[in-house]
Amino acid sequence: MADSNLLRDGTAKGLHPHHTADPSNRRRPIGGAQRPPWFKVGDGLFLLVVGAESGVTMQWIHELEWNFLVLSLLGMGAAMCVQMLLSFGLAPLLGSIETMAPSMVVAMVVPMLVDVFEIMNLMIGRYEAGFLGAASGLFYFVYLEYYGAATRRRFALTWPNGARTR
Amino acid sequence: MTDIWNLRARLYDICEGSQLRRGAAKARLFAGMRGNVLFVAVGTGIDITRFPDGQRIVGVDISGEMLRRAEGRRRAYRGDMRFVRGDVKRLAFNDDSFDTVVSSCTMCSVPQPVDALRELYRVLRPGGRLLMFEHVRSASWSLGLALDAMTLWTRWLGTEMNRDTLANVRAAGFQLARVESVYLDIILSIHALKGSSDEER
Repeated sequence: MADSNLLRDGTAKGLHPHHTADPSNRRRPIGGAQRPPWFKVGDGLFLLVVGAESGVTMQWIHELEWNFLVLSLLGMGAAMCVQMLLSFGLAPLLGSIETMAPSMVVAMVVPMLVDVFEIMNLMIGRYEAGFLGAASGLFYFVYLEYYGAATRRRFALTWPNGARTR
Repeated sequence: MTDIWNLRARLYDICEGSQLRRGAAKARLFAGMRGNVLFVAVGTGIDITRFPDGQRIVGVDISGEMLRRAEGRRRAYRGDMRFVRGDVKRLAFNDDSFDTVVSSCTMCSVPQPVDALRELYRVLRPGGRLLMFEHVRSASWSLGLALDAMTLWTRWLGTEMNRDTLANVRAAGFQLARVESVYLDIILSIHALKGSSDEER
């Protein structure tokens, strides 16, 4: 991602490339900070729980044996309602956006996976649906870890030196 | 707009109080404050606890209720801080008045963010710095979609989760000096500068 305001050495126009005199730049993590381990554990467990909840909710809704499309929409809506309540509950601890955005993806995708099993006439029970959801949540957590590292690398390449103002 | 924020003031610290996770990144960003500082959208003053001591700061917010709730944190701040009620798009300050402008989770909520950023550009002196702690739309398709979906309902509360604030900062005339990831590419620590007239020539 090139920035037209940057000179070739990566500094913004007219800025000093060295930044040690600026306390805000001391021990500055390149491209951004890694999350502390306890937040990683919290994020991982949270996505696992949301995934399991979404799978179980969708499987439970399908037990009603109404119209498939109605049940799909109902199940997805119910899974996302629970996901939002869980996110609000954990927001003071793990962060509002940090919980809401990734868990919304999990709460959308997992019910669809349960739907796929239904369409293929592979009847899965509550335990299997929960396991499928938990595994999907963990998979998405791993993807986000990779994506976060790639983001920090991208930012570090685009803004390698930072800046010092007068 | 003011009514929404007066209402949100009551729940703000509960919903937005993720200081446990974001506090260290905010403190690192705000350590770059210099000279006369303008703090836009004070909110309940939750960020004041992360400001370095001894600064001269003017805080602005559109909501009187937010400023009332921030008063305790203002008094506890070890430095010179005063509050002014006002709209970030029509600031009652002269051109080039401030050395540093600080914002935190603001540009997601201002109705015309580029206009607001142009106003910040106006009051910032040439060579001055803009320090922003903001959330933006992710470039990841799945997260971007989730943020678009969230915006369908957060918009009614005055917040858009899917803005391209980096592009808005550039569009207002600032130079991006450094951007750091706080959480993926959604929550960012942004350092931007107002070029001096010599550099612009």
